[in-house]
Amino acid sequence: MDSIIEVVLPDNSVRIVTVSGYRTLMEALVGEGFSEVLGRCGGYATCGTCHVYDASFALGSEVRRTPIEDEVLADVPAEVTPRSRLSCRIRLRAGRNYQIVLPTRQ
Amino acid sequence: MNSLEIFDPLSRSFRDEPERTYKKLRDDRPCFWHDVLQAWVVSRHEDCHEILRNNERFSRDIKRAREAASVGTPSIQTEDPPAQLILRRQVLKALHAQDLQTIAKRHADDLSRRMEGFAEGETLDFVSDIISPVSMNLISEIVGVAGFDASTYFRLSTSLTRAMDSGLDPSRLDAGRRAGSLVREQIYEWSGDNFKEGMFDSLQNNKIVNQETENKPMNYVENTLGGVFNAGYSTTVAVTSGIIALLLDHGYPAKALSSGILDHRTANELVRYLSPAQATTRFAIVDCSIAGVPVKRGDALVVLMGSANRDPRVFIQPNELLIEREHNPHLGFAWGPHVCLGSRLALSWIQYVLPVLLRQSELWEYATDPSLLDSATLRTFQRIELRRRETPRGFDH
Repeated sequence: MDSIIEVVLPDNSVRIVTVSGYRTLMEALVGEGFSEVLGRCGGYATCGTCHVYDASFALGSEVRRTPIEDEVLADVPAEVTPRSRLSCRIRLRAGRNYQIVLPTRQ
Repeated sequence: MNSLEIFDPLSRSFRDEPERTYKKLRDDRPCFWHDVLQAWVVSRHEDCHEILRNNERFSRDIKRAREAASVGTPSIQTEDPPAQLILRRQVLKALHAQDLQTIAKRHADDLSRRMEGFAEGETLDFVSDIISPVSMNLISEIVGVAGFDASTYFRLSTSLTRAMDSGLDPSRLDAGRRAGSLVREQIYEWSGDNFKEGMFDSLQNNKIVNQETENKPMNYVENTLGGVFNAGYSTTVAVTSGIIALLLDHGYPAKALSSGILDHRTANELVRYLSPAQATTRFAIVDCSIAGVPVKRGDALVVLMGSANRDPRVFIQPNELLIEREHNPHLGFAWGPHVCLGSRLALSWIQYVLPVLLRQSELWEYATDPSLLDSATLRTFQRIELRRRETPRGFDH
């Protein structure tokens, strides 16, 4: 089953992609040509260049971030908010929809 | 045509103009078997990126590709995930726990002071007199060691770098091995109570690191720390000498840089454009196809990051330095599970040292032609002799 990812780009435009076959959100974003997401370390949560803001949850509810993400996010150049995630740590679930905001830089 | 006629990265003509060869490779032979290297040479960005990224098809660890192979200097750098993942995270954590921005700024200021200490008409070698000691102090402070004598270490590091090309020139191997042993011994001597406050000391006292390294091969820790130390030193020398040469060679980037924003984009673009790390090796762990060429499990692959970083299939105006380049998936730090551990330090360093070098490039000129090290792996200078310009009469600094 496909997943739908709604992506708000740094210029506030919105692009929606339907994906399948990707393991993680980072792989999907890179694979679908979102050049704002780099994923330099290849998905091992060490570089911080796949930083996204996860807007999938209702306002006020916190995203679940791992301690490793907290460590890596402490060094990313864009603002880190409670919704900041490393997209390589978000495993795609078939049939689920995602809403993502991309930071201005990685 | 023999392999060295197609690709001889130790030749003077290649050093002077690598992009001429890289373009031919990308266009005509994007994956070709090199008889001397005994490896496939891969030059297009798409293929280089995939080889570096895809740890399930390509490995750094030769044992995953060739069961009978042995690893000469086992370290975090020669292992793949998951074996090195926990340690790698701890090394990164220890590195990023240092105040990299403040340290980078302090040593960029030191570089400025050193260059200001010369009178008009005086000469210096930017490599041995300036950037070698500055890099030694920078890296020593970050890792927390007393450091080597800079001129001694410059020779050791040169031997280590040249030995990386022993596939093309086996005579380099012995000097590289001797240098590696000396670095390892010094790291061992520094360990224990002789580490200062810094990255190495925090790793030494880290329970996770101690658990992870308990059953690793002999010298694993010293090899790893030595590798981190030398990579930090040698790439700082390479990128900084590359920038000063760029500024002295071309007036226009200096002008563009001085009027532009010096942020991560500029620093990343300089890494792409200069590509200090030119090439690295991986091994195929499955039969596969690269650029339409069948490659067998166990085959070695030389990944030309320097070529990938000028590939017009990915980069607009690849041979231009565009300081505000937005889409810049360069391979200057490699990519994937072995992406450069010091990339954040490198970007900070470039941001702080660039304004210093811009200012100094107006005060200095070449005294003699600069000379690049005869290395296919690291594009770095051996000597950049500069003479301080005479201030034109009536010109007030």
